[in-house]
Amino acid sequence: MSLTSNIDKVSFSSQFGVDKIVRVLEGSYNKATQTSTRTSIIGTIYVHSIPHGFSRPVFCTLLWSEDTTTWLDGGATLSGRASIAFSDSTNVYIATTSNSGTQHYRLILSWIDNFDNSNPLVAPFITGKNKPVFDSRTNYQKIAVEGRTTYPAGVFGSQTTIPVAHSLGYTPNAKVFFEPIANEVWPLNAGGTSNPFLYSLTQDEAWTTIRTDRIDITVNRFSNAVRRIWYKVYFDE
Amino acid sequence: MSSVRIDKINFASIFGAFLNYATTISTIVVAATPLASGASRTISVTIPYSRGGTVADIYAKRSTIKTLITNGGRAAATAIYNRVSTELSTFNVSYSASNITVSLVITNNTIFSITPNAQNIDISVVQYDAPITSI
Repeated sequence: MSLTSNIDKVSFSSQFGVDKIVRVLEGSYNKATQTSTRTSIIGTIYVHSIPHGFSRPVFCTLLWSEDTTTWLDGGATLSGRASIAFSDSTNVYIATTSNSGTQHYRLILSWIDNFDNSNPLVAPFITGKNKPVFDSRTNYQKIAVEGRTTYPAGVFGSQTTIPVAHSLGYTPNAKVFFEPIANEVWPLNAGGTSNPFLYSLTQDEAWTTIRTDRIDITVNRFSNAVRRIWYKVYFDE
Repeated sequence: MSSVRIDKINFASIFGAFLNYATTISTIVVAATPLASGASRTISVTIPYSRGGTVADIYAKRSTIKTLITNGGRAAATAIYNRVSTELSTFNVSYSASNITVSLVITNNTIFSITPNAQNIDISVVQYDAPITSI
């Protein structure tokens, strides 16, 4: 039996990539005094910035809390208050819809392969936290397909769908990040005027529909600019 | 230790990874029963989930179509929910120390009573250990 063609039997394989964590940021800040503001369609959002130390953006996985007891994933809402994380070449940003109290965060930064052609050198990152870097007893979500594509500029408010093919034959898990604002890398973010993080009428929206042979990334274009998309499709096992 | 060109590496012991991933699935069942004009219906599932140093992705899937409903702002429920009319649909996710609750909220925005299409939507919580302080 070929293990690489029966990947569900393999915890990890050096043939297939995994998400590479390059830094973890943990801390808290005062939402009233340690944020700047951006004006959204439905109000003001409050943005805390943290230098990440790299020369290009990173993917952000956010956990956030207001009391260190209840922790939410990025994009989730607590009593109408929401939080999301994104990055540019200098900083990671945590955006909230509230400007009172303390925001606690656990922010996991993972690398964007093929962000551009610069291939910068990156220092190894091994956290001193309670988890090993690798453990052969555990399973890893292995990347089947990853890459970068673009979507074209279009008429304000027009919609386009970018398909990315895969050959897995089942509906896999997949993550997509995009560039709704020039040089900022966000998780997919959509919802029109009900979404507090669509803070200007030049910010694109996007969502994905994952299918058995492809992922469709649908973009509502407001920027009228060519922008980038980064995608990862994972094996199920 | 010297720096490396990480783009060229599939797998490295010098960078962390999301490990020990596990998937738990539950199903939201939408019944074909009338929903009055202006009314909303909320259908929830609660999935056990440990916050002990973990992060989670939550997916919704109907038939063979799936979408990620967390870590991406408001959910694109319209990509999954099969509408019978123009009714609105939203996924909400809430957390406790030991559970994740995912709700589908269907709102009849028409001036008539509607009967939503019967459908099953699988909710999967994909959980990972991450190198963070245990919560």
